[in-house]
Amino acid sequence: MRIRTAKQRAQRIDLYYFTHARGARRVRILLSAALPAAALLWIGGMAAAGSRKPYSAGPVSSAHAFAEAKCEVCHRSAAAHTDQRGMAADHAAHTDQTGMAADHAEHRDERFRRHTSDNACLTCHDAPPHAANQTPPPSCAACHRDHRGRVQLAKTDDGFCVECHGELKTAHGDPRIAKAVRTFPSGHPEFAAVRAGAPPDPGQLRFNHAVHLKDDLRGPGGPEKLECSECHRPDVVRTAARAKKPVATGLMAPFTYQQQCARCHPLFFDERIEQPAPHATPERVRAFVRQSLASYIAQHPQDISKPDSAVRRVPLNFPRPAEPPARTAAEWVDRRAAVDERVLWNKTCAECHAGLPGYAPTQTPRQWMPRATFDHTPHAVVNCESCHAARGSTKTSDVLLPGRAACAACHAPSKGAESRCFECHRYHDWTKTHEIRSPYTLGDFK
Amino acid sequence: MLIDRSHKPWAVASAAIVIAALAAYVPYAFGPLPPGGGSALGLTYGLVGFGFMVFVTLLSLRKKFPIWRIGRTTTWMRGHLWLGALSFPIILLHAGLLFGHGLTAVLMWLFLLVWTSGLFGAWLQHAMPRRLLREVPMETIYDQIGRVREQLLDEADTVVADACGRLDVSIAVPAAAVSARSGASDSAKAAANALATVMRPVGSGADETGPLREFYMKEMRPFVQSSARTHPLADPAVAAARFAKLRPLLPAALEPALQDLESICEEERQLLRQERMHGLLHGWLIVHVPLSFALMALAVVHIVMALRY
Repeated sequence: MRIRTAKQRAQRIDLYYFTHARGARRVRILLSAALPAAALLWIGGMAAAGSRKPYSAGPVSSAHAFAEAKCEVCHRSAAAHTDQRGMAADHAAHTDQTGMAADHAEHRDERFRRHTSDNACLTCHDAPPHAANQTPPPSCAACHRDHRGRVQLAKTDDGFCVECHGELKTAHGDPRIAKAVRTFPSGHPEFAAVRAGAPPDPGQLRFNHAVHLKDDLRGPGGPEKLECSECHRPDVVRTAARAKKPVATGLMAPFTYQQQCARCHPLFFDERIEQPAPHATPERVRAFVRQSLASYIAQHPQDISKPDSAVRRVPLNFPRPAEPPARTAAEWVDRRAAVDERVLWNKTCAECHAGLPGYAPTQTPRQWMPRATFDHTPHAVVNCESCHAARGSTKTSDVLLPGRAACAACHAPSKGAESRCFECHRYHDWTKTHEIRSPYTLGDFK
Repeated sequence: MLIDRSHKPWAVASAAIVIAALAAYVPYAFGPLPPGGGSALGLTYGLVGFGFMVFVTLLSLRKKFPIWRIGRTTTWMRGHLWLGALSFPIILLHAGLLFGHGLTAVLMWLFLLVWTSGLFGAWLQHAMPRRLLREVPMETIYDQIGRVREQLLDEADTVVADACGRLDVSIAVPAAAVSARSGASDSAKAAANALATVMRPVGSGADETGPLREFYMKEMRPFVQSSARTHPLADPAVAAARFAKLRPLLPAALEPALQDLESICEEERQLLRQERMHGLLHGWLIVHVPLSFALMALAVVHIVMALRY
């Protein structure tokens, strides 16, 4: 039987055991010193090497990638941007105008932490205001949040817009367009051009889409079938000499008589004259007619004495009494010009224009939704009539713009196509654009 | 630490803090600005989370000075447990539920490791002591196991020497007798061992003790001396079989010695078990503590740089 005496029990314990760390405890103590030291060495080493990677909040946007290693380009105090770069007066004037960067809240923040100031952005970018009476204007970085990878900073989240437009407050009266817009399509008002009670198409050019889309349309070479694209062509603003493809505005090009109408609607005015009248002002048309007739009669003086062909009244078929032949070439020209002009003003030109021989602007809208942007190019994947109900339109006053529902067929969160505000709307009012004079040189980014 | 009903106030307070933090976070997350550490609420989360981190780290300091009258150790331990558990979710809200890049990402991964190792440790500390109590009734102070093992070997040598006569081994002398702290030289220790060997009474040397001596010298002594877990005697069933096989070969007078040896084997097995369970119970600290200090060092750098930029 094992029996331990009191002495044995006392000897069992080494009273100084805790003064010596052994085994796992020793490893733990060593690691507790080594790991923090290694961590600080890493940070110190990176700092010594001039790398700021440890402090980066993430990759910057594609547009800013060239300056990713130059934190100070953006992360500088507003004072540094203005004083050191000598831009104070310039940008202060601009920012005061735009009301973007002059808010005191930002300067309060400036003392606290060195976030990107609006001045840093405005050094290289123009940023016209959103609305002149907008209060308070957010800082650039509030909407354009960088360090989120190679994204496009212009693609801001709806939250920034909805913050105000979710329940729009105005200083005077009710909002002009919509009080509450939260998302698209739900919560977005119907487009102004097709909203109930919206004004008709202000265009003064008579045009019947239904007739022009008939399958057996009479053309110069016989029956033909027109496609939308034969008249509606993309608007190309410029084509660089070495560009792979034309640069399109996304809108449709304005119509011209020569491009869209002349092939089928030549402005012939007299059977003796082979050249059609120009598509020009009535004065120029009148001068052309008289000039053409004068040239003709000079070459054919024997026609002066020929009686005029019977002129029938429209719509009645009673012929006018025959007039005595002209006695001079001038009289002949006067008589023929009067008849030809009547044909032009009452029939040929009147096919499209009203109020002749007066001159009325066509007023065809260049862009139906001036507060939104639309690009036809990516939408070429669907045929025109998917969105524009032109085949049933018989009047110029018909507005053939698609409604919100047509867009929502694809542009909805559940459908995949982009449906955030920036897809159609621009925050900055680019009519108030401002010239940028950046102080940086290429060497600043090497 | 046993997580029992006495933790209820801490658990309730922690749940309330998490609920309040989440309640504030939901409208913040769905607000116009994406959540981030730089916003007012984000900074608040960061401040609170860092406060918790500092408190839980101070436990190490508190342990260094146990006699300081700055709250009971139990309270500190509970605070460490619950505020430590809270700190990571709060910091995660501070970061907008993102791990970020660069130093931020390093911090978050470090924190995740520290937090998960801490949770694992808390579970071990909750479950292991009961198991230890059940499976190791002869538990001793972990750091004393080596010393106790030496005493076991000495005791076993004495038992066998008493039964079988002089053993051809040098017997370890308890450290208390020749304390390392007393400054005794190696030659003095050797002399003490030699003296202990000589003082063993010489037995009758009868042949009937031969099996015991052989078993002890070939099997049991190496087991107690080397404390190998793979040794056959480390298995209680195998050990019982060996002793059962040995018992008929010995005279009845050696039965008490045999029982003592069996008891010493069992104690050695318990020491082995305690070592293994202690390794589990405290091994996680090798990950948890050093990473915690590294985390705190980098967190301070993060705070300074985040406020600067």
